[in-house]
Amino acid sequence: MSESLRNKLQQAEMNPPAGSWEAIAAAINETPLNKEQEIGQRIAQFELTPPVLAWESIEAALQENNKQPGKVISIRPWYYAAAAVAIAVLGIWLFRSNFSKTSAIFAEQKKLTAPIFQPLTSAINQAIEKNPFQISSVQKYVPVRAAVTVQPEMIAVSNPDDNTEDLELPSSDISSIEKVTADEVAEINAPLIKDSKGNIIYDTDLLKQSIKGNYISVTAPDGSTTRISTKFLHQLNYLHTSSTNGPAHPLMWGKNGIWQWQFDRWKKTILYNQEFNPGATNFLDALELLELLNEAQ
Amino acid sequence: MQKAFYEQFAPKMFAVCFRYTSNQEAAQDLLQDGFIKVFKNLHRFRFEGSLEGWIRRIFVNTAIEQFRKKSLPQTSIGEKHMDVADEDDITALERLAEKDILKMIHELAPGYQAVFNLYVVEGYSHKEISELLGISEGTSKSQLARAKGILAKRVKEYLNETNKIRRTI
Repeated sequence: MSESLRNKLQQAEMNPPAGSWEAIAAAINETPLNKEQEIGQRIAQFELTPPVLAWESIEAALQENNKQPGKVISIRPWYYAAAAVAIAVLGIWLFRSNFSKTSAIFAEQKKLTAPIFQPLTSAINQAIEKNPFQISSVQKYVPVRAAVTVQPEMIAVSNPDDNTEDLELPSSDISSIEKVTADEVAEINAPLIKDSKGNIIYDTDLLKQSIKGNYISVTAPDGSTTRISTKFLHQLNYLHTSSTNGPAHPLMWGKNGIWQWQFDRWKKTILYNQEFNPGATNFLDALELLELLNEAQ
Repeated sequence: MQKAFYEQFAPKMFAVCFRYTSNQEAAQDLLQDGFIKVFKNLHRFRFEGSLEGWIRRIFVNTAIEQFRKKSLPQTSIGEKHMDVADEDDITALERLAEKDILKMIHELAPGYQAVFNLYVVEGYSHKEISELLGISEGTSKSQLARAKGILAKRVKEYLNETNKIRRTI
């Protein structure tokens, strides 16, 4: 089929018979689909009076609705963010505070114990090994009597309700302690006390102190003086008294509590590692010690 | 201003709400939700079509949202075994008054009601209805057929009753 013929046929027109449209229109109007559309359009135009109070409730809901966006979008996220930041900052601060406190306490503890007790023990032990009963030969290593200036608030630290048993240190009578200065020459006022193994027992009489401003001078047996802060007076006082019961963990006691716990630990270690623990100023203890020495001889 | 707007469109929109719900309270709730949406979105109306048509679409969409939330298409299953009359009988609705027609649609099960309203009144296709309601096209068709059958049956009964009353009078 040629191209021109195809175009002719495609473009060809022919008038329909008269009355064709009327027949088609009538058929369309008769179809259920058309009827449905009419019904649908009619239904769509229906009106119904709403309840009397409908507007009041819509108005109230609109007012409520106008308030909500501020809360939901802007305030709440900021509130939660601020709270989270505050908690984080507080947590970090508390952690750092506790950590630095504890570190500082144990650092100071190292400083305090190292110069006084360690050289003392080793020096005395060496001297005793040479001549166990010639105390005079190790005079310059022998501990001096403690001289503590006692203040009322210091004494108040000790716990009157303390029920601790068998934990008393060789104690000095605080009221009888004489006051000396750091510059005074060390003197020997008490015999050396040692345990069954020959180690020198820790004695509170090792301490000689004087208060100058915010510091206490503590003199070691060899005459060397160490200055420590007056804040340790409570701990020094504690050495003369019995231990106290505190909370379950030393971190809960605060700075002084940690020291108290540490001293208590030392005290227990000393007491449990020796068979006999006589007090330097207790006459009965001195007699008992004399008996022991005689027996040893 | 808002109240005047409400008063102008409330009667027509309440009729829409009534058609898409099964009780007066639900219709009132839908009216409230619909108007809140209209007032919140009024600035989006672009004056490209009729305002009434735009408002009506919002109401219909709100009704569909609520319908979908309740997942009600299954509720029509209860009427599955009802006698389905010839579809042509729906034309008998024309003989009823507005209130009676609305009442009959209002009394349909929610699934039938939604499909009937969307297809017959709003002019959606079954494909569109299936997407709007989250049902298959086949379900939409069968629901519509059953809705029409129920309506036709009720119209017939109603007309018979009224005829009886007229005769006795």
